[in-house]
Amino acid sequence: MSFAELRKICVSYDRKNLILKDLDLDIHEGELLSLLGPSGCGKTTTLRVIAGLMDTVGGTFTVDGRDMTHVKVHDRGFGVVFQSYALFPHLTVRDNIGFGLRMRKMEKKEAGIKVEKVAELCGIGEYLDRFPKQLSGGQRQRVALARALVIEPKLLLLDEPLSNLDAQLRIQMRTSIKKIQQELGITTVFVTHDQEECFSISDRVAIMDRGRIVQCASPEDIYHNPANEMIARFVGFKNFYPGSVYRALCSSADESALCCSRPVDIRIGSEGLAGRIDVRTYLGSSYQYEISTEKGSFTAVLGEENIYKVGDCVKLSILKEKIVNVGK
Amino acid sequence: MYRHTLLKIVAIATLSFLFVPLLLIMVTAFNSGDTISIFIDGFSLRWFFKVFKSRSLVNALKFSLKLGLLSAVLGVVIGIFASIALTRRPGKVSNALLNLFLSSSLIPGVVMGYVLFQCIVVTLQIPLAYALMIGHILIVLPYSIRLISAGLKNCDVSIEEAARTLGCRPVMAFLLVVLPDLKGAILSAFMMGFINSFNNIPVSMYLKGPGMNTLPYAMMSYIEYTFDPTVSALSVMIMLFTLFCMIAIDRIAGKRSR
Repeated sequence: MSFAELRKICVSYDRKNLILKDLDLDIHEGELLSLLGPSGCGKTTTLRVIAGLMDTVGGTFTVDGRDMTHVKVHDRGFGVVFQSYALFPHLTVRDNIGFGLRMRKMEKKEAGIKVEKVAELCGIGEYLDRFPKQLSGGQRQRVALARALVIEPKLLLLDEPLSNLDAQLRIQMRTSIKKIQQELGITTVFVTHDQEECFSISDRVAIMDRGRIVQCASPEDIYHNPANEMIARFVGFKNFYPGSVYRALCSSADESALCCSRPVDIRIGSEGLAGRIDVRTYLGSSYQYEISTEKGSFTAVLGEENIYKVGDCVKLSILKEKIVNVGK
Repeated sequence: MYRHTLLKIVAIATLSFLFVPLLLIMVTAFNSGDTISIFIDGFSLRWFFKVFKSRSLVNALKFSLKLGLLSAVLGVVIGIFASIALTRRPGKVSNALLNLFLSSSLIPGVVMGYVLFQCIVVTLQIPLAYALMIGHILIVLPYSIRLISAGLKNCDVSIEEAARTLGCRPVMAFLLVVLPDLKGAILSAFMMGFINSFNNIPVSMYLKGPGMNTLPYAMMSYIEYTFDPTVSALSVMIMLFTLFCMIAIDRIAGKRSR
């Protein structure tokens, strides 16, 4: 049994259209799980359901074996970092971070020590007496994270926390988030629409599309074995053809299913499917070729050891294990 | 250059039209003579003291202050609840309602006073003191709803949600996190409401009962029978008070946006 489980969760804003449809999701203890998908796919809604900020019309949600479906937000005790940071403008950084402890009626002295400790961990120890207005975006982000962490939540929920930061700061922040998450061993759910960001820090990734989870696996697994065509395209697969076409490149390929491959795995040699090079683009240390064959056009990427010219007639082949079956 | 000069003339003319009468009133207030005149006999503050000797004016001032403060407080409290309801569930209905609530500031006071008199005094037989209170709350309400709902719209909804995830019940989250953020809007609404209630004549005219003289009304009846500069002196004091309120609003509301 997983640490946290969502079972057949349904969410609807207007009681007609379902935003989430029978969503199942398992979250393992101590992992960083990302929800990845295009905007409008329901990833933020899923996070809000977990946080308790959104009502469901069906399904159950349990954490550590305890049914949380109808537990109110303020009793769940999860840490949430919002996209807009949502810092309290009239409170200092110290009081912002200590807010959750104040609500728990913790003794002032003890709370103060805790606040300083978590601020130190998040790298904002020197800004404790400033107001949110006096901080930069990255610093605000760290305050929001510290505020969520100080209550020692069972679950840490991050809603696109990096989307308001510039590119360089983003990479820096995602590394800090990962570091802090590992140090505390805190179970974390991270919502993002950025594939690179997501793959770089997640232990597992749940890819969502139209209110459903289409694949939930480790980044490596998704990268090598995408569950469907959408995901395959998302992680860089090309050359989508039925297995029968791939037969011409590799005699032992499966017949029926829809297959694809990465451009780097297409080999140009003396045997296989005949074709002609239409376009050549230089990628720096390698070339990308568009090759037209009687079965359709293929994309291949080859190193600089054998350079072909536009118009050259070549033969394409591929190893069987490099062909990825994406169903249907 | 020509247009520039014309613009200056128009601007000066407009400003004079607005401010010269006020200046004249101020001049008359310091007259040591017995009549309201801009050709003053000498400088004196005696009319300022006379204001506080006139029982009718002092009583009316007390009454207007009480009425203004009470209706501003109630108007702001109602305004806060109304604004929450109207801004947190945006949609056609709430937008229409918002406009409807604001529209009472467009209805002429005389009409509103008459309608209130007919409805709540004649038909519902509500005592005049309460009727006057209701009338003045209605004067305050458009300002309070407009200012507070604008403040709420500027306030990030996720702040309240963040407070709730940190262990706050909904009401506490509002009091601890949203309300402090609305401080400026609430204070502006209170002052605007108070000033408007304090200055109002038409609504009070219909709804005031015996012994319920509001200050502007008392001033009107005072000049009807007496022609000394007491009212000028009182006007100067009211102007200064209003100016003080306006500066206070600006300081408080301006601080937030800076």
